[in-house]
Amino acid sequence: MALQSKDLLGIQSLSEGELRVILDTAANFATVAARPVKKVPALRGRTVANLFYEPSTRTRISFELAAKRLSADFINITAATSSAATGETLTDTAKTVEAMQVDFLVVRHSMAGAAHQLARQVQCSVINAGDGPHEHPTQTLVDLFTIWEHKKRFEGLGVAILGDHPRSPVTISNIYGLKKMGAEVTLVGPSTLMPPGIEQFGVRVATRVEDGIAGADVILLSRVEITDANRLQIPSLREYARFYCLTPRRLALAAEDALVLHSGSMNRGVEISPEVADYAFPLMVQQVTNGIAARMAVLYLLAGERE
Amino acid sequence: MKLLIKNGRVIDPSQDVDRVCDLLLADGVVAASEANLRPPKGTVVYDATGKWVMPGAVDLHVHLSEPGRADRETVASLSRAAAAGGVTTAVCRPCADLPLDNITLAEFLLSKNRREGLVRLKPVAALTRGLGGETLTDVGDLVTGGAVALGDDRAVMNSQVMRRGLEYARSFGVPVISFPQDESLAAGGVMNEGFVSTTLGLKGVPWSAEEVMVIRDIILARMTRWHAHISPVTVAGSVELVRRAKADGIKVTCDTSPPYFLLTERAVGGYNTFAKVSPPLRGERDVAAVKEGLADGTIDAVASHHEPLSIVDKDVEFNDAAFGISGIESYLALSYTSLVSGGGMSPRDFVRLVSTGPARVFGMPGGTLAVGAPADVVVLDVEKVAPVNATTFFSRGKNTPFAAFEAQGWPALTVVGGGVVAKSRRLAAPPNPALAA
Amino acid sequence: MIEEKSDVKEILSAADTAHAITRIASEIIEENAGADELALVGIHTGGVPLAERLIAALEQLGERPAGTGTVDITLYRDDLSQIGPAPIVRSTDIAFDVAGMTVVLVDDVIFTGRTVRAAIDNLMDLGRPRRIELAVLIDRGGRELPIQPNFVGKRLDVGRERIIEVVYGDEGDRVITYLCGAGRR
Repeated sequence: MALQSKDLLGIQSLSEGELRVILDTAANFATVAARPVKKVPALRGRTVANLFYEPSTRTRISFELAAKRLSADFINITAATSSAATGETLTDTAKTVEAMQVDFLVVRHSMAGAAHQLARQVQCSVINAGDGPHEHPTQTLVDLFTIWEHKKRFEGLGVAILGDHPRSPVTISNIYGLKKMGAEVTLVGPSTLMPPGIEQFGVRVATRVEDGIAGADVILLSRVEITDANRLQIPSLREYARFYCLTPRRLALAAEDALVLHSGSMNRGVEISPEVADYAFPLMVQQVTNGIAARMAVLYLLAGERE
Repeated sequence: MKLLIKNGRVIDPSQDVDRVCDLLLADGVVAASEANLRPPKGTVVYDATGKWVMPGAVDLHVHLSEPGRADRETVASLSRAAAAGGVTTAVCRPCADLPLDNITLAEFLLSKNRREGLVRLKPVAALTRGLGGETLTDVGDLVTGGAVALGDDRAVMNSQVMRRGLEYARSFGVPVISFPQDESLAAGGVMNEGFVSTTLGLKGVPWSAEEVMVIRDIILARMTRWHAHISPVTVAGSVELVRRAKADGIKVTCDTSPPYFLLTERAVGGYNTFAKVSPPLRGERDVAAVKEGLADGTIDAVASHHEPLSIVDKDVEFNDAAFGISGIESYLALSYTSLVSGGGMSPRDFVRLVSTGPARVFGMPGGTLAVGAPADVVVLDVEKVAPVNATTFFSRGKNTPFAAFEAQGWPALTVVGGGVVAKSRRLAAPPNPALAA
Repeated sequence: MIEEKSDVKEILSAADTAHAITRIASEIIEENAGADELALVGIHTGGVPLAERLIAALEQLGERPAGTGTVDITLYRDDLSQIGPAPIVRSTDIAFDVAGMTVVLVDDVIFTGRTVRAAIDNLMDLGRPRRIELAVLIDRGGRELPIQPNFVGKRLDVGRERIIEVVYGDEGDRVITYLCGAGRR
């Protein structure tokens, strides 16, 4: 079984079967990283281009390593912040990239839908490496992969997600991914941080952190900071920390072997207490390794011909 | 010149007429409307058998961008598009490109139209200077210069300014248009707020942003005892608020446009920037409520909400794309398709919504085929089914989410002031002498 | 996509197959003077059960290889873009240190030699074996690369259009050949 689409734009459009194929493939790629020669020739002669409209060092490097470990050629294209800023239409950009004869276009953008809009106009495979608050499918695949490694199940797994949901690049993708795999998802945070219509995603909403993480098998965290965009949703970081920070006392409410995964750079003392951060740190390191394997799996699976 | 439109189904809600007969146009006015009229010598005869003969569409909501962004729309291109679309009077709203906040701009528009236009063009003047929402324009000047209504085409957030605007407008007898969208609730929004916006990762405009302004302006209309025209209404709650206000005898009218009763927020799916419009496309419940409001007379008019844009405004990231749909050339057919073919609306109600109603709302001539009225007439080929085709638009704006949409009921003949300006998509050459008066 | 098999013929009976496997096992011992520094690695998918049977045969002869494992050549194929959807990647599972070992690659059928080329490349990326040998049950000729097996159960010359399949089963393993698709040719 292969992937249905030429592109990976989001988790929303993947079936459970496709997710399982990606995770199985990622598991096999993870063993490649443990070998003396960390490279396989599968994508020799193919070209992967990173088109990043906003910086994201971690994601960029992860894709770069994934491409190189598959023996693909790799180029980085640093774009302006948007097509408006360049004065170029998306069609212009698409045609230019197409002319470079790349096989994969990895797109990072602060605005939702940018990868989708480009994908419509190019023959090559487009991978969404994060489009603002919309989807960040490869990050979700990494989270799913790490959860699978540790829990060996998704069915009935209780997962609590904490963070600045309307701005988090992974909340929506994680909800899709976890729900498709059969997990029970609880979104935790003040009502101001609940995306509109969230109930229709089939998730539970908890405004009290204690209710949200009670008995959770997995706790997913993302960075919380205050910007112009969320000033009216989070009164202050101190207040957020007081009511939502994952502290050892709160973590004790979760399942005994609860997994704590943090998707980006931590804001210690805000969404995660220093003690819990130390507890979660080794997993974060493992996430980096897993990230390369998951992205190798995506590149590999998209490389096949479609019927 | 004399024109006899023979044997069509003449529909005129202003006289409560719906019958097959002939219509004679002479000297720029309707001369007679009877069965089997004998054409005087030199009369051009148009056979309208099987077609509807109605007062030309009066479009309360169009934009153009001359001077400034002529790549979007000029007076000439707008006028050609209007003629092809069956519009005999187009009401031009202010916008950033053409703020219409001083008499010079209004006069420029009208003189340009006299030279290059085909259909009647009426300006709406800005209520506040620079559309800034703070100080009133020279309303009297502008009304004397031809403005038919006042409005910034964005919400006037300062309630005191809106109150004084209504009061001042009252002295000059023109309505004030309320664009019902609270800017703080709508801030940053690019589509309707809800489940769909969350699945797309786009920031939404909640329904409440509209209702808050609708109710405020109904209150201010009651307070000032003057006419607020809400344009457009797009959510279920607004329709209900207007319905109740009318029942209470408050001087309030409203319009909407085809995207709000033909499309839902789902049209944005796949990041279709052509479906990005302000106010945004709403949910199914809203569409049903808008249709109900159109059917029961709560909504007074269907306007095209024509916002022509260039491809560089649209072929960008969804967040950055400009708001707007190019509508003037297809809105009559789209309305017919939805309301008459699809909704079983009576011909009289349909014509009331696209012609008689809007003319009355802004107190303009038109919207009637009464003898002696200006000869602004459209013959609608109600049997004709054809896809909306942006590539053939006379408008410079090809930005329509209705591309390839099979619509029924296309204009076959457009007459302005007795002169044929469009016949089966063949346009007359300007100037139209009828506009000189 | 399940294609119909037609014109099915048995090439090796269960008894023939068992005999061939035992013979290969003895040759491996003979050639390598015991199994102390010997590892058996099955190539996914057809070589994996054959390697298991060879290991069992070696054990019956009183020898136990120092290492066993499997290799998946998917990532080393030279035809990824020509074969339709990306094939499933199976695990390459080699738990021993290949350095200094004599590794016997095991596959059911050798044809063009491309699979073995890929398996060799894969193995070399895991370390530097002292020697690599190749054991196959069937050599059907048709080589496109200069690769020859060290140990062969049976050489066969069938038309290129025919499929050769080793059918592993509880009542013994058999080798059959058939044409794919009923009406074709």
